[in-house]
Amino acid sequence: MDYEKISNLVDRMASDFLFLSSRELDIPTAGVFLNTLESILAVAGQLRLPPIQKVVTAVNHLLEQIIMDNVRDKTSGFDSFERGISLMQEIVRDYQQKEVCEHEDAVNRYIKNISDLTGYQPPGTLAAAEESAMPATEAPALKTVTPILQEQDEGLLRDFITESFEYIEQIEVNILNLEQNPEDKEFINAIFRPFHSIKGVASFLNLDTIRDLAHSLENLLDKARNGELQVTAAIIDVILDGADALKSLIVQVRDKLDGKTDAAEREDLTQLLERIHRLDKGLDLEPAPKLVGEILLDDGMITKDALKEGLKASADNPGKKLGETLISEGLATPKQVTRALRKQAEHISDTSTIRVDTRKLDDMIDMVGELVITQTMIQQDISNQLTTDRNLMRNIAQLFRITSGLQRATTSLRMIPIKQAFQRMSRLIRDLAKDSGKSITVELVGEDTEIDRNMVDEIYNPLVHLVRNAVDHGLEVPAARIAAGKDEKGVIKLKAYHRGGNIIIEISDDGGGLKPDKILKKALNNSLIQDGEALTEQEIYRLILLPGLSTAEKITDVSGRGVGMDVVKQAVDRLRGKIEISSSPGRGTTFTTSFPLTMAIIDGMIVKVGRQRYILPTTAIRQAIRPTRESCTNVVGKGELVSVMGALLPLMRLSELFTVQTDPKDPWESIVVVMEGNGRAKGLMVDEILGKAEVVIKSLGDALKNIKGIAGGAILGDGQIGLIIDTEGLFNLSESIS
Amino acid sequence: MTDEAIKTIDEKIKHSREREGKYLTFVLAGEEYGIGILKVREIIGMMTITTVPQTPLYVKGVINLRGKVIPVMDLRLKFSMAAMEYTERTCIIVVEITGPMRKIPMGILVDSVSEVLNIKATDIEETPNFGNKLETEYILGMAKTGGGVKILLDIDKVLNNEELTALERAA
Repeated sequence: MDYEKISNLVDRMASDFLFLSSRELDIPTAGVFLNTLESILAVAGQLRLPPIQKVVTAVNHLLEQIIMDNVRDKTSGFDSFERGISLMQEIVRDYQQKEVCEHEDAVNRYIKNISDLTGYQPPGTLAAAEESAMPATEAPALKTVTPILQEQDEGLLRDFITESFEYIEQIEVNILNLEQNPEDKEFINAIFRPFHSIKGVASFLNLDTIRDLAHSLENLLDKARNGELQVTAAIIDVILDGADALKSLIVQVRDKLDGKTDAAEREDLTQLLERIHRLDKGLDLEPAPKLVGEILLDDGMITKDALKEGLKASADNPGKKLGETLISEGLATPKQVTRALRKQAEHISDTSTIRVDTRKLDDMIDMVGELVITQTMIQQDISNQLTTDRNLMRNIAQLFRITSGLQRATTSLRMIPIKQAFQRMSRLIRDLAKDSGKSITVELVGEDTEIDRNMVDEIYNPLVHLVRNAVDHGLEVPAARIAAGKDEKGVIKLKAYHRGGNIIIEISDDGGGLKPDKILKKALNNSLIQDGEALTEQEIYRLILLPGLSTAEKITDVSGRGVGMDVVKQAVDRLRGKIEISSSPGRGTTFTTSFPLTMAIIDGMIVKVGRQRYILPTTAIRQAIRPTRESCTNVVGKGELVSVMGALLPLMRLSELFTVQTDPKDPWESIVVVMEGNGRAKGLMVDEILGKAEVVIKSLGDALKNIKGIAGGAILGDGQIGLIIDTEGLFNLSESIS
Repeated sequence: MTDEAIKTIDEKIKHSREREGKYLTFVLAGEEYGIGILKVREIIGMMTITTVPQTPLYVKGVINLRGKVIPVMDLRLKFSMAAMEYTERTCIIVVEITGPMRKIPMGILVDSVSEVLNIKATDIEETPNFGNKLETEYILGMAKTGGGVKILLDIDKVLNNEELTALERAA
């Protein structure tokens, strides 16, 4: 079945909701939601998805009640709305993957929740009947779990779950190795580390049971590592069991996150912990055989009592397996047993994404690049031979299409939209707003701008700092805003776009703006500048990037200790990015950061000097001119100058800077490219401009990195390498030489 | 014979055993040299080298080896021999050098590649002492073969660590 349409609709709704600036609904927005719900209902009807229909009807009702202002507890009304959306997402995902819905209970609970809130009566009696069939034990379990989960970032938890499965996988692999070589400290370490990581994250996320279990296993391994304990079969067994228990605990967390709370009471870990404890104390134990029933218990398919009964029954029936007995006694449904068995057999993992070593990706991108070059050469050869074989030509054209598609696909592998980072930030803003008593609308622009996967993580921290600053210092408190005649609600805008080889991210607020006099005073007090120094506005603003300069009067736990902006500056510098500040009093401040897309394709101009070709990043190029004889001046012993549009610019000869062999030429015989960077502009003399190209930046390798003026190499269309110019570095180089 | 002496001989034997094996031999200014075959990744013909500025003279530049950018060094220049025009027989041997941080693939320009030789431990002699003037650290030993003497190079040491770090810092 085709669930794509419904999935798109639900996802759109989810993202609309996420970007709801505040926890308020105005009628037009609600109208959009209602329309979407209607479409979902229609599609669900076509596809015959009763759970979705049920939820949609309930959400629809809730939304209407919210609009009519009939919901007294607005916050929980909103929460329910949010939960309804995520429930729909879950159900749709389930249908997509398994064509079944495993959320019946969650649906019913949800409907009950809505009816508690709004007095909603679901159409028909079906839901009510199922509701009464719900086991009574679920309600308390839900209560204890939901508040914990709600407090935390769901994204963090999901990351943790995915990571943990990987860690446990590592443990399982390495433990087999350890079994072969019990003396090998390397293997112990390889098992120790994942446990340690799980413990760390679990404790951060307040998952106490997981933390405690991981901790005690880690202790045990630590002793083994220090040689205090001999690695025996018993230890290996207990670690394996521990890893299994961890896995099932994590599965439980995931299930709860997914709204699947039909898990029975938690597994009793005391026995396992006791075993670990005894081993820890050096009391050796016989390896305990794993019982079939335990697996079922682990997955919460049956209760302990039921298992006991089942065991008793199977003891009376020695020919039968436990699973069969459980089914025949009606203690577990065949579905539960088969599912448990399947779960036992299959790897529990999330298949929607996989992690791949970036080196493999890079290799692949390299090879595809070569494929394209070779392909072009073959095409050239064939067209030179004046062949009239139309079949061959057609096939070659097809090959061309495939290779270019392949190239696009591979280069996009490393790129992801900045959306996720933006969403995390907008969430952060919302949380911060709540804490600081400000009300804030977040505007996101250009979330689909793509950026290298690695860069996202790198730029996130400095950006978060800027966002915090904007919330904390940028925006005024509501009272002050009203006094200034502005909307009570502040606006923070995150904007991303590409400019040449860079991604530009703007963070702007519509707050009070920077106060130059205040910054100056502070800078003078801290002797960061001398009295009477004439600074431009831009320079004054840049002062806030210096260490020890925070103009915040109030130190909050968010920012304002004077260690903020300089850290941002450093981080941005390290990424070879730039930061610019513009501000207007009473109207707000904009921080414009630009970062290179390290691995990304950059736009460049290919120039020729002598026999060498270089690539100038388009971002750094202002214009290219052929100067006249009159516009060139040679200041003897100092250097050459060229006049471009009334401004005298220093002239750099690339051939001299890079000692390229070339016929000596005068500037008016060649081409001058005006390049700018960091507020400076210089003319660069080259022999010829060959054209424009989009190239992939490649490092020149470990042996040749950090060459002044060179950002890297790029493989050009003919398979040869052109060096990419680093403007800033080239400027510095020209200054250090002259 | 004292225990001490026996030990020294044992070590020497062990040392020469370690050097035993297959070597790729090549010609440089009329002399035959050898590199342990396990260090060699491939041999390619001469191709266009992109010059990289601000590097030592012996670093000829970078080449595109199937999508990977690798540096190429002219062994003649490295050994302070006279530079020579590249010919049809000029080859780039791609080796893997163990750098201070990790393995660095690097191309070595040689006059021509000869053959792969199996050199026995007994055929390898210690590097004679040329006096302080000459640095012989990068010479593994001298191999006597039917055709004459071949100089076995320890390619990891041809570029010593300082030079590698200097390259990394890119003078």
